[in-house]
Amino acid sequence: MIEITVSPNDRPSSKRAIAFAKELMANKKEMMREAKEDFKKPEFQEMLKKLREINER
Amino acid sequence: MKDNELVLPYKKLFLGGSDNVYGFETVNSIVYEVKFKPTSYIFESYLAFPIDAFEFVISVALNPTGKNPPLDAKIPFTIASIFMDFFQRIPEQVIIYICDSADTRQSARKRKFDQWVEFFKGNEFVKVNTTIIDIDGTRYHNSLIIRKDNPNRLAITEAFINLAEEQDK
Repeated sequence: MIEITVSPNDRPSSKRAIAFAKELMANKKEMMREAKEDFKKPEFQEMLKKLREINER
Repeated sequence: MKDNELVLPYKKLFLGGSDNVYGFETVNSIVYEVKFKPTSYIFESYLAFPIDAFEFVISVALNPTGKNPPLDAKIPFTIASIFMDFFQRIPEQVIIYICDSADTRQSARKRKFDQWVEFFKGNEFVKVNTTIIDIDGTRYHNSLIIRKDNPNRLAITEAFINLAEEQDK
């Protein structure tokens, strides 16, 4: 992995950049909230059943 | 764990769906859900061409232990294997990760994410880390992961860096 790290200066970013970060954060929170609901869905339960079968082999 | 001990990832399955869901279960019966949510639209105003961008999120879907999930040496390998699988499905994609800033532990979460992806071997991928600072001082640590051979790599990474460095006058 080639890694590039851009060190921030200590001033606030542009409104556009802050909006970008907030949009990503809102998506993330929504997906994390959904996880427990997703777990109850039949397709997720079916996947888990298959996973457990694979893990038991 | 001994240094020379071979660590294998947990078995994972791809469920698919609009958010490209993967699942895996740990030895402690903790079930994790990994999603790659399409977020190309976020880049529309930053790039002159369309890209396949996905936001990576990992969540605990089931934790029967009632405690915080313990450290598990297999999880970084499992995450790396999921990333590799997803990149094989869509090679010319971009993955974005943002660290949760709901409390003051963003830096710890960033280190955890860095640990997950350090298992990518070789120089096949490029990871770009930036920080966006909100007016109240909140720091949003972001990472972008892209294949080195992506034909738009330079333009995409430059746009990502420029956005983080941009300041209003």
